[in-house]
Amino acid sequence: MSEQEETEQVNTPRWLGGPALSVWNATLQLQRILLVVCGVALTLLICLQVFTRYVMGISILGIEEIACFSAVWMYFIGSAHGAWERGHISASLVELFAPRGPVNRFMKVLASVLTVVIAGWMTVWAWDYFNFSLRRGSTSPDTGIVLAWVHVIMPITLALMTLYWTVEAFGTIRSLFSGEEDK
Amino acid sequence: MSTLVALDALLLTVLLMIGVPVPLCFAGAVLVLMTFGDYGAPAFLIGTGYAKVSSLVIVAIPLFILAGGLMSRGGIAQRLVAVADSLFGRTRLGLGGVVIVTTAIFGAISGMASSAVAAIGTIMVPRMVERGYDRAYASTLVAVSAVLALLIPPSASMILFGWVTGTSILACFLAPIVPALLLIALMAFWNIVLTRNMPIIRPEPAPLKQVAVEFFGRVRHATLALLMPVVILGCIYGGVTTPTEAAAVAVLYAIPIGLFVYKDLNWRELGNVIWRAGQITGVLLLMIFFASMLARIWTMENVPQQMLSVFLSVSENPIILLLMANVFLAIVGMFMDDASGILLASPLLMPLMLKVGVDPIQFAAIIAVNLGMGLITPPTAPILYFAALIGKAPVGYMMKPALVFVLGAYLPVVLLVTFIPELSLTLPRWVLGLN
Repeated sequence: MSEQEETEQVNTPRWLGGPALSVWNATLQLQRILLVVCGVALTLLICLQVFTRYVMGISILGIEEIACFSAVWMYFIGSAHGAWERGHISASLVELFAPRGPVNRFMKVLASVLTVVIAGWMTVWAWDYFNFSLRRGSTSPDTGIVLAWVHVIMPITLALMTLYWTVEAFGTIRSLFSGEEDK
Repeated sequence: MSTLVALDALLLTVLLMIGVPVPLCFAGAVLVLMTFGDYGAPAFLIGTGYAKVSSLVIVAIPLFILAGGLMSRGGIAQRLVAVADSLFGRTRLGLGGVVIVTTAIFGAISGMASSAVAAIGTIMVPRMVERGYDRAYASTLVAVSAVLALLIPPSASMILFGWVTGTSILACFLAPIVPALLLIALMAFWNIVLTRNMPIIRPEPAPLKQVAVEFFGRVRHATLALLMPVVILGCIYGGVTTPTEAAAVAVLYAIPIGLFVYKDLNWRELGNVIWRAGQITGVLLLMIFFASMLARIWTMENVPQQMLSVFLSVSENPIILLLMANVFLAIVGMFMDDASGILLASPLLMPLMLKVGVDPIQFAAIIAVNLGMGLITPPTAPILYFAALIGKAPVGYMMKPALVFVLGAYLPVVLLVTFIPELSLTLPRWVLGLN
């Protein structure tokens, strides 16, 4: 996807340019790379388990645990990328009863601002949970991985989601005042 | 029901209606309860959500989504269409029959209705229009058939239902198969009725020998694709692997076929399919994350039992109660997608179902068909709208045929599944030896 496309179709600020846009896009690219790494790791680990358990008759301790941790990282990173791409599901009735016009634009502002508030609040909760986990120093039962390193993905990606939804909220507010439809 | 919980349910509805993303609607409802209720530190709720999404059972969902993505990008759809076309293209069912059968087979690979619309709709709508089908009708047929992906195993929705309600996922996979076959028959019937006045150009009849040669030739080319559901279901029901392991095997099977056999997939595309699958799963799992937090508080507040009391206060007649449950599900389905609907409605309705003697496995079939119907029922009909986008058809013209399929196919099957338990229970009992 080109930089031009990325600013027009998704939650990238319109005013972003130069090195700042490159950093923004690099963050997205990193998310995609991590999604591929987690997806490949997940598949290979489960397949390895199938092979060792059913062909060799042995079970390697901790495979399922690491697979689940990879999956959790994949879910949250995928969710953050989905927020950037406006891929989250909504069940809006506003589009049906007021497909365009000021009522539609106002309701979009309301929905997007509430989205930012809720996502921001959840980020704080997730951060508290990560801190709690870090202080306790809990480890996973099979592999002894410090659980805080699994939990850390939750506040990071929720913060990213909040950022992407904030960009979207600004777009809807701009549309409300300009009368243009938000892209 | 306490005033706070009632207000919370109202807030959830308002957030949904104004267009807040569904996961954050659940999160908003949690936020209000935690702010005004006395439930302790909010961090424990994050722990609840994390515990739910870090389950190994749920890992089957991203892997099946990935397998479906690989097969749809890897050229399977064209090959399945070719096989079905050689069987039904010359019959009265025509290309409509091809769409129904192909999406049913595709459902046995991907388990996601949207994948089926994208893969089959892209190929079939232009082809149907070329042969004289109405564009709006062709797009509608793709949408109503794509819902079969929810009913034919492996289904992401049934994994979710089994996991939320603690019901055997293998049994949940099997429960909606007979209802799906009934739907296929009814859709085929309505396809003939609705297309009888269209100026359809049918291929010239061919001698049986020529048809057989063409059919087996196309089957040979599609063998590896057609084997995929056999591998998945064979691994699961042969007792060889768990659904999660079968999903991983399916991914490992699909990659070399797409890359080296069909050669419709390249390494770059493979990377794109993997991160896309990660994103689709992430969007779904964030919903599960927040829904399980809300479910935890609602359970602490005894909401499912209170919901049961509300239903029982209207009537104690099991038939009325089941009809009411179906109306509730239909309303949920009209406004939410299948995954959100399952997360919200299945824990709420389970006590009612148990009270009226409905087996959880039968409930799996009821909820699958009913919420599947919701995907094509306005006002919120995501699969119908998606098919309109793929088929470049005006949504307004799709409403009439969609209504015919909803009232003439889906609704009768919902009622049959609700009142004839054998339709959903026979297969799980027979295959899994359940009582």
